[in-house]
Amino acid sequence: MRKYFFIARAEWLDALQNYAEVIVWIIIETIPIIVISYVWLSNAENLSSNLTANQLVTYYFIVLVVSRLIGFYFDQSTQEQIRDGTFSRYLLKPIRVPLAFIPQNLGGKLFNTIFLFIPIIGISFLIFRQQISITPSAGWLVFLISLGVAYFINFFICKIITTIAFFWEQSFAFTHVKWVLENVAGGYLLPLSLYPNWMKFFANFLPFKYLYYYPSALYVGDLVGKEILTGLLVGVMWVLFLGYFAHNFWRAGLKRYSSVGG
Amino acid sequence: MFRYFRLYKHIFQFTLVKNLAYPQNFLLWSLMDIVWAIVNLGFFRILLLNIPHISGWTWEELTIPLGLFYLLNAFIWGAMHTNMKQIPLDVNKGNLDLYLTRPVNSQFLLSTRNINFSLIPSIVVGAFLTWYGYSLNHLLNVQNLLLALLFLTTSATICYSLWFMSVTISIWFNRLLNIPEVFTTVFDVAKYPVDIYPPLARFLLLTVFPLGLVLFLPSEIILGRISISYLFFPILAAGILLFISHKFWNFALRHYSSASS
Repeated sequence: MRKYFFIARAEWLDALQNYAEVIVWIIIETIPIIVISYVWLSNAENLSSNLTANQLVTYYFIVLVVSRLIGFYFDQSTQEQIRDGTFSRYLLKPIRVPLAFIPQNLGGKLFNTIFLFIPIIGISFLIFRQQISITPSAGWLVFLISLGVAYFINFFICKIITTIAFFWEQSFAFTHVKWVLENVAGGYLLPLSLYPNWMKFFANFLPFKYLYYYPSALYVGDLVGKEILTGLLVGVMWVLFLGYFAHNFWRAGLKRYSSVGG
Repeated sequence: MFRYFRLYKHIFQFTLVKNLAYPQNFLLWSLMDIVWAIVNLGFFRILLLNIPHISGWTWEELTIPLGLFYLLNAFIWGAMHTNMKQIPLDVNKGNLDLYLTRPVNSQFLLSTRNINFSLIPSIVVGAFLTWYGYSLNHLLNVQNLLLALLFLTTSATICYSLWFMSVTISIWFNRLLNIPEVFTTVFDVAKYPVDIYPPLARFLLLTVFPLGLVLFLPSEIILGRISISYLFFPILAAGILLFISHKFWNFALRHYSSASS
């Protein structure tokens, strides 16, 4: 356990070095939320959806919060390391990969929460304090469980995408496929309830809606009653299924791995 | 001047060969570009399923700024992104010296050394959407096509200058690798009419950071919503910003201390 704590600490110290980049990240993360919020607010009277403009502003605010909390970024770098053989150094260490990416991720998150997350939330809240609701419509407990579900679904999807690099050199394409699906079927671009029925139908068969749409929709009250419970159950089932699949897929991938050099 | 055209021609040929050397990679990136183009377009379609217009812009009218957006996007991600991304890295590693000691303008060389040809689908989507928008609004004539070309040139110059100035800031820092992404994020602001923003933001978008002149003002001129005399503003903004970006670069270089030996 101690070794995983050191991994988290190393990530925290590494993140501390680049203070100027932190300010830039604050700008990069905040602008899209401000822009899309103004799109909805400027058309508040013409909305034909079941969500009000204030709910939509809160939705994007929560999407931003969720994306910061559940984000995993090891897929691209690890794919690269698998391709060029530098991945071998992980296999020589007394740690379990990719499990070690969780404390690494949490170390970075602690840094992000203090230096990135709080200023971003502060700025967004300052601009849209009239619109953003501060309590989840479905209650804190359900909301926090949905965040846990989203965290693990995202981790397992990243693990599966990383594993593809053991089998195929151009596996970066799957990272892009994941981004597209997160944006479209995950509700990052727009709440799924605004989609036409045929798109909602397809999104329901994928785990991506539990990444952003489900926690954010719970928060703003886009899901009620039976939908909340069914969603939680299906989300947990996805965690179990993806976890099982990712574990076996990773083991199969490791068997295929070979690198050159000493 | 001709020397620079010749140089760019060589860079163009060299990077084209480099792009095509890995056909599978090239095709995959092109496919990704098509997918993102569809996602962007789908986003606007769904948006307009839930609101009848965006600040007075209906789907029929929006097709023109969207078409220009895709064409500009191809320039931003195809001709500029890899170059801009490289500048803070060069500053960080000390590789900038290699470009400063060459007998050509360093700003030109740093801004043109790479081209990503996998953005060709964006050009196709943009050209098709602009043509479709012109047809829907009964505007298909030579004058309007020439106007679109003129606006694309001014908009590309405005975007390039703002972007180059933002990455120039990296010279004052040892490590500011994410600075190129500020412009790509801020560029999103230009995707919507300036009327949606509060007055102060609107003012800034039409003057200090004139992204409001990049897509929607040109489209308003093409649609005949405002007088053609307004075309003076993007041209003036492009000229001034290009000049400032050059001066700012030269000023920044005075503060550059190489990281190499």
